[in-house]
Amino acid sequence: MLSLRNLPFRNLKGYAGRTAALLIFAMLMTVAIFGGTMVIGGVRNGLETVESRLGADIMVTPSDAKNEFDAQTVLLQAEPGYFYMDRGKLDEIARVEGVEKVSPQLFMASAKAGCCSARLQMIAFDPASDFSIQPWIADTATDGEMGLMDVIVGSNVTVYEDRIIRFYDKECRIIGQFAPTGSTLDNCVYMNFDTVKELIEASFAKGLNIYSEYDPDNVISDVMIKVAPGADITAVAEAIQNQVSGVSVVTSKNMVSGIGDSLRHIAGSVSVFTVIFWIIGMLMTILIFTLMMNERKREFASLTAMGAGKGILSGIVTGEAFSVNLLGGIAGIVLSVVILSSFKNLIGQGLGVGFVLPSIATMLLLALVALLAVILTAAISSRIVIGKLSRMDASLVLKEGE
Amino acid sequence: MKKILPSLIPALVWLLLVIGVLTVFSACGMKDDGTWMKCHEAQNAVAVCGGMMAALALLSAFLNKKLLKAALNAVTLAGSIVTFLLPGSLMPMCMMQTMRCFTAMQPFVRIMTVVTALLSIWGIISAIRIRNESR
Repeated sequence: MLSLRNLPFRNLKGYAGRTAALLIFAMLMTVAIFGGTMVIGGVRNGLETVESRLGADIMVTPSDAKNEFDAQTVLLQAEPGYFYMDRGKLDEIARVEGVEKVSPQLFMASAKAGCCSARLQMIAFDPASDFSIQPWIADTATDGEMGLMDVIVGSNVTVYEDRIIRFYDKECRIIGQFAPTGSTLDNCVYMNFDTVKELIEASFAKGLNIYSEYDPDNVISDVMIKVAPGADITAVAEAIQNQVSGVSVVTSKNMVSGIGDSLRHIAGSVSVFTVIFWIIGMLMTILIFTLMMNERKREFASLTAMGAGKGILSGIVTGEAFSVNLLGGIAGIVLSVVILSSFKNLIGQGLGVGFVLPSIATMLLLALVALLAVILTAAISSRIVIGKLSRMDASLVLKEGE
Repeated sequence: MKKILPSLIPALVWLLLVIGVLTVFSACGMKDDGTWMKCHEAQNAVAVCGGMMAALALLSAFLNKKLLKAALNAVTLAGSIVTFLLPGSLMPMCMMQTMRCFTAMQPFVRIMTVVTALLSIWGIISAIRIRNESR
């Protein structure tokens, strides 16, 4: 039965082509607003996660490792590599004024795995002094304490059912997996010094290590440094560079500056597209509604002649605008979530930055903002149509057709 | 003809899945030594399963027997679930989640099979509804 309550829905169903066009534009608007802000949020989230995961204020590597270690790009596109320096550098660095904590790390890269042509970066830490990796482990569910031949893998490493990963024919047990950071840290395998020494020995035995002259007990790959409270990080980094020979010093700020630049570039481009698409969507919705008004003049005039007041006509127009925009908005949000969550790695690779989806609470908030934006468009469109309706003379319109 | 067009949509979606998984959304390429990576088998399995389901969906579009139509849609629904699970759950994929099989093939297969599953459910409901109306 026809009633005033279901009249807007019947109208939407009756004008299927127009409704479809309105739905598409409402969807386009929410995809632009919600999808765009999600992309910016995802890149920013990646940057924050990496910053918090770095843990150290300064990182020291051997000066001859420049080919394997570029501070600006290492977190975004580093190829697995390894380099060593004398362990004695650790004590030299620890003696520099302003240095509070030092912890050595030892790197190793796997040979191409049999299954999938992928090389993995192995990072070993010293459990006694480490302050940068163990806090993540504390936040990660693991199968017990990390022992000899136990590893924790980054989020991009697939964990097979047997939870075993093989390097140089040595089996390692995967005891946990870190949450994504959107950086090259996700492609790494983390272990203690005893495990990596076993693997280095195994690589020597297979002739797959270019540093066969080194004794794994006397070398380290880098030193993670925490500066003393109140000390200036840049000044301490300069002091290390001046006082310790044969090393290259980089601050964590330098390391994430590359990502920060990419973030600013992406945020700028995405914001421009978001605004353009939203304006196009809004203008098209208003245009379709205005054209609809001209098309349906006689319908509204007939309703007025039958006794429908301005309130009823406003209700019909507003009901139609709100329903179609809300439906299109929800569809746009669902589409954005499905595409962004399914292809997040591909999007990150395409943008050339780390991409970590925002939390569910943030997503809900962004979805709400996007819905409010399309509802605002519905309110503007219906306001224009209602304004025209109030100036319409029903009797003249009905006479026009006679 | 106009009536049969909507019934062809499931078959077209299945066909799109097969074409996509063999072209734009294919799994990882060949290794340097000329052998295929693990995920290649998952890609082939999806293509074969998708092809069979496309044929069943096409058959269902031209059938008039409502019960058979519902049964075929139930089979394509089961096919959607199996195909969804093929890359990564039923068949192994590569080691790094940054590789094509994880970044392109798996999400594409999962999105498309969710669509085919919804279309199959819609097909079952439509078949049952028509049957009841005709009584």
